Amino acid sequence: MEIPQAESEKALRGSREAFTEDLKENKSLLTKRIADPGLVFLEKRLGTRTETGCCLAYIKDIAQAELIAGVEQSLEEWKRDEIMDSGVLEQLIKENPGSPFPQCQMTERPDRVCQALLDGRMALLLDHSPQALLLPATLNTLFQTSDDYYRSFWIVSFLRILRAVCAWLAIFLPGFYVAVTCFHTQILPTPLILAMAKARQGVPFPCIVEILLMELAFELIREAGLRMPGAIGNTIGIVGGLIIGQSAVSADLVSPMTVVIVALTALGSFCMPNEEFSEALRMIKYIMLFLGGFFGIFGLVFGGYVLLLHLAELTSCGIPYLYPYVAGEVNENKDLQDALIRAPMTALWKRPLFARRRQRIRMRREGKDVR
Amino acid sequence: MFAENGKISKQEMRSLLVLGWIGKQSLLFPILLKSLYGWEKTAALLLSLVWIVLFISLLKKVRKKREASMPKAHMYLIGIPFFFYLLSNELYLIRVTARVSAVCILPETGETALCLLLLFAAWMAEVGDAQKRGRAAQALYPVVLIALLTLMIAALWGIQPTYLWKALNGNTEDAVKMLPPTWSAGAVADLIQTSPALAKGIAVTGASLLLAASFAEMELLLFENMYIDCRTMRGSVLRVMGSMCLLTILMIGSFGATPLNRLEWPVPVLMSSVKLPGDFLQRWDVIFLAILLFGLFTAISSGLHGLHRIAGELLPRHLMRLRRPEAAGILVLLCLIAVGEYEQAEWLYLKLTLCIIVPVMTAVLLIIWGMRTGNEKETHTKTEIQDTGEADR
Repeated sequence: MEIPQAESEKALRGSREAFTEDLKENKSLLTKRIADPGLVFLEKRLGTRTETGCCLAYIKDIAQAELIAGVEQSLEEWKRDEIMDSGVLEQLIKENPGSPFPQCQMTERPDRVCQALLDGRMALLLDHSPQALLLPATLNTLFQTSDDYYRSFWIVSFLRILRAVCAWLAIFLPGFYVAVTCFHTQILPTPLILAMAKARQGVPFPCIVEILLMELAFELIREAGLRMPGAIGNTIGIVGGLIIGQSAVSADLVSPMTVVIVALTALGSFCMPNEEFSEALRMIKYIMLFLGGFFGIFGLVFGGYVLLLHLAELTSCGIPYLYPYVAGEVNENKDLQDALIRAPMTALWKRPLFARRRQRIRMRREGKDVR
Repeated sequence: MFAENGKISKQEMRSLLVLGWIGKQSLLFPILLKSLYGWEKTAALLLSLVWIVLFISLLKKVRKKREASMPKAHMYLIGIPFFFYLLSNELYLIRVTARVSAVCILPETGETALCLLLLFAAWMAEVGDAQKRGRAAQALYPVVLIALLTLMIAALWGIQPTYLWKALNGNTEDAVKMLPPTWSAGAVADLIQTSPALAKGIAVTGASLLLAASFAEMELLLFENMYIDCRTMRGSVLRVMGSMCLLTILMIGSFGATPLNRLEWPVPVLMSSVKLPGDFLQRWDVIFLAILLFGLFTAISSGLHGLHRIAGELLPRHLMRLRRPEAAGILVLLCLIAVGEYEQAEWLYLKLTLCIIVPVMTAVLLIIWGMRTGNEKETHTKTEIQDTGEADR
């Protein structure tokens, strides 16, 4: 079978290969990149009626035995008739099933999986599924792309900070806009307040309803674009966005500022490397919108605090979801070098916390101590 | 794996304590130091550090006794006033946060709704994993500190050196006017006229004791001995008091010593007066206050945790079902309704709790420490006599 290109995880540098739907081919895509004899594929059959082939991949002397045992146990825990896709498996093995945030990292790129295996993480490959699941997954890993290690640390650090800002925009921007417009106009410069007031002249709806209408319209356009085949889907996205946005403004249903806010929010969510994480953010923004609309910035602080508490409670294979921003001292805060800002490649001599303690050193330099 | 005690790490505990106290003291300490003028406020802050360090030492000694063995009666003697302290502290924190939010950022919103949201957030923080609050505090710690630092740097540009110089020189007349009415009556007024230094000394000492009393939640050291150590507690207090000292100096420089005493909550006013370069926003108080609110949320959630924890120690076995965060939350809610508005909660905390219950708590600790030290000395002496007697034979 021809190796497909990665469609949902595009990168400017690095391999373009993606997984196929055949488990054997996917295993060979990993073995051709990692020549280490310690690379282990633990085979299992999942689904009592489908007997779907599943494979837990890890590097024996790097991955922690407790984490491997934990994942094996969670694979044995559920006996279901069918496991049709890695998405079903992900929902069954999640430690916090009630959370909208992904606790496994889904990827279709073999190079990404290999990087994760060499970090001490594990990968779950399922037959007939072109996506692999990486465990453990933290917020930090969900913000990273595969080519974050192929480019200069300056650019990567800038992009990671940009992604963090985008995440903030995706969650809080509509709520913040409504809060400022309804409760805290005093913080805006006077020319901006006047411009916003002028733009909203004739609009019959309150600000919160405007934003809600445009956000829902955007969700409709997005879903329609996904479901329609090929070129029609692309056209719907462009035409729908332009026509609906422009028409709504011309008909004085919404103000131009609202269209800008919704567009920025959408762009913010699309900048997330992980699609499931992006979907969770898109859902949460509605809660923040209502909180901002009813309680202003106090509501946003309340929502932000509760969200943070939820994220603080999440774990993936026992590792805090917010690692290394919390509990980073366990690995001497070394993992902060590869967090919001990425250190130069010459400084990344240590593996992250996922790896066994005795295998944390991944790089040496001849004649010099990199430490 | 992530905490030596399996529950919460020292860094998380430090973040919790610092954030909570920064949130609380930003609003509270100007009220407690209202009767002081200018540099006397800073002196009171520094003196209160001494009282706090002494209190921590006392707690450390009593904790050692507790770890050895302590009768249940002694635990009740310690726990019951502490429970009342935590309850009034929680009521005050919720009310003051709601009041400041309603006054400064949400004038059209009722305080009741804000109180309910605060209590709900505190309950959310308490249910589930014990490390949740600590991790959230650790994640918020750099955000709040950077915001505080930014506020201080921005406020530095607006300082009037003449205000600082005038405050340094002092102004007894203005100080007398600022004193509460009871102080200016009778012998105290004579004292001020005849010996202003002594009067100021009494005022500074009194205010420093009040300020130290507002840190009485440190007594949790006795109940959460696995999770908190004295060093972390001391380090956290130092950080907080250092920040408050700096804020005091900045506020004196920005407003002047006399006008500062007229402001009910000078820290939010300082936030509204600073300007950041770029004129991106006309006013920054809403943003700074929003970040300060994270500290207040942390303090309120820690307060509810303390109540839940102490209730667990005090309740008998047959009332086990009440050892739940929901029960603590409902108790706080009922007390909020019973106590009424912010003014009543303020009176309850500032007048009753800080001035009466905290001294009682301290006296109980001193007695228990003294009693057990005396008993141990007696036992030690008897053991020595027995040993000497056996050796002679």
